[in-house]
Amino acid sequence: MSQVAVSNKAFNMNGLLKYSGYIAFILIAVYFTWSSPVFLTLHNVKNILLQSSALGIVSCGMTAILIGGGNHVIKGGIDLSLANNLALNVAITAVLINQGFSIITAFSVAFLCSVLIGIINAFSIIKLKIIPLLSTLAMMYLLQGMVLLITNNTVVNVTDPVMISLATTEVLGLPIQIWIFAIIGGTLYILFHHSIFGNWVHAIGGNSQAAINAGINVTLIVGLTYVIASITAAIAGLLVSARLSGSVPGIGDLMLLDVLLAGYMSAIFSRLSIPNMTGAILSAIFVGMLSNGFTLINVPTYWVYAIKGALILLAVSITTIQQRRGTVHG
Amino acid sequence: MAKLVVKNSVHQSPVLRLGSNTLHYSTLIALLSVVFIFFFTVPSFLSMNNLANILSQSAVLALVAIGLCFIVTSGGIDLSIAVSFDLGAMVAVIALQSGLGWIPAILLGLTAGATVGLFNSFFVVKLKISAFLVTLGTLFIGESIEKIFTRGGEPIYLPGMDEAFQFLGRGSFLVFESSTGAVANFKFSILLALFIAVVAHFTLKRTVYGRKLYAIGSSQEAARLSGIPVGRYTIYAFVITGVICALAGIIGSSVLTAFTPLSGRYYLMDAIGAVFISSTLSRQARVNIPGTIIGVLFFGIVANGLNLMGISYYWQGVVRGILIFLILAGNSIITNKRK
Repeated sequence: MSQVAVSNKAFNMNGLLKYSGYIAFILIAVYFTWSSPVFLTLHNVKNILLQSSALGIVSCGMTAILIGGGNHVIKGGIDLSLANNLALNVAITAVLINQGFSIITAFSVAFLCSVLIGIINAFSIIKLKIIPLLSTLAMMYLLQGMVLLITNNTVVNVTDPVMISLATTEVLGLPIQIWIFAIIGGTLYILFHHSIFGNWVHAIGGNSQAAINAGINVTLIVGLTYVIASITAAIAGLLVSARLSGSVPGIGDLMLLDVLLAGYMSAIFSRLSIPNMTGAILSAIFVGMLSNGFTLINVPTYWVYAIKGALILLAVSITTIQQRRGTVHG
Repeated sequence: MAKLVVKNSVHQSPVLRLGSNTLHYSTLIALLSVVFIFFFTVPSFLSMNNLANILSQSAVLALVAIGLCFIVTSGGIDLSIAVSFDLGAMVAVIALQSGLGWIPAILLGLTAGATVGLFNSFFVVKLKISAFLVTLGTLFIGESIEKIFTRGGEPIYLPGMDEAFQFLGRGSFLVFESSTGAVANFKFSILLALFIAVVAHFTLKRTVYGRKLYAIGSSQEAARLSGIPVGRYTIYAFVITGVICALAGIIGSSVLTAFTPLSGRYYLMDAIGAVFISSTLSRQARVNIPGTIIGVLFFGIVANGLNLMGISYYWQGVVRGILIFLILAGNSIITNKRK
């Protein structure tokens, strides 16, 4: 009888462990709700989602690379150029629209540039076999320079009706940006977690030699993850340029660490501690929620980053410890 | 049989071996060719006084990169080197400002770096969280602390700084004056960086600690099974990284006679680049100090050469990116062919 009770309890514990990332997320949300009456209003929740939609989309791209690249620090998959890819996209779109091109032409050119960057990244990683960290670092420097050259390091304002409507239109009660976030997130979730392509990517990330032996076209698929990531950067770039109504210097450097953070933090929303799309989306919303919540409860801006860092460490620690207790092998 | 032996000996001929060795150092050759290009296009590039400039400017980045080598050798990464750098400088400058002598100020600064290292290692070693996330969190926290202490990021100027402290970054150990009157001023910090580089190289390559750190980096599980105290050694690596980066920060603040908040981030990406370039220079793709120094000099030479050519700052990122990319591509094409 007691044995049954114990095993039952263990079962419940395991059920809970699976969700410890979510629990940390909810606890912080509850705290904000408790300390600010405005936090859990429909308007503010929309705001948080709106603020995190661009970051969320790029984080999904980053996660795609992390899943396919494995988690080795030196040789693992990473794309440092992703945030600057987004910045370049924003810059090209803004400058071309100001030169008198239509938004469709401007964004198409920017989109093609982003995809080209992804292809160059993929080529240098899979064909030239350069470590991803280094080749994307070189690409990051290059893109930083190009953004400076294109925008002359100034704010480029855009007053295009399509851009404005992209920033303000609501469809079925939600801003269109959130819908785009949901569609991209959903598509990537299905692609990476419920399709044969996703199985291949996970297999490659787990053990690429085994994946080669199993007959998977490893080079093609790893390359595709980099191209997918740059497509997400392009789409997020469109959202950012709509929301900022133009290009602002330094977006790339500002987003770089947040993208990495959301990508790596996605692992805490998974029982196996593997990066995943749901986790990436939730991490991006988590980061957005922290910034929003601290602003609402009037924490001085100096402190926001410190508390953000501390909370991230706390959430990750609790989750990691629990996950370790939950599994048999340490 | 005899034929086989002959074939073998041909294959092993010294000329060919030299050839493959030369190919192996393609990154170094690329660096030298960049130097040649600058030499032919910019007459003042290879002058003694410009050489002194490049070396003096590279000393701080060299220290940051050497510090980072330790933690990357153990298979981790440390993004909080930027914070060790800043906090080391900040604590030292505040200590000097409040009237302490230069020795306690430096010691306090180094302690700040060690504290950052201990903080990181608590999470990475004890709680086993990925180093990337932990050090990113530390980066956020540390930069916030800097802003709190400097009222949102105002630099702390300290014009009448202690003479001995100023000597760290501004003092010279070798001054040449050429017939034209140009003064080549080799800064003391070059000597210091060189000394730390030699000690770090010796520690990583020739001591038991260094060898075991490489073992941990190759496979943590294998290292643990063979009885290496993985946790303790990783803690040491984090602390060493923190202390060396704090030293770099202290020298940086001595050069400016001021503490500028958030200046560490400027070195972060370059240091990562230099350390990982060193792994392309090594046969086993391992991080190493000489390669790191070459990487640091590469960054220094490119920045200096482009400045002398009068190329705008905006173009420098582009050129730097393309150059790194070409070197890496050349290196990997050659190594792949050899296989």
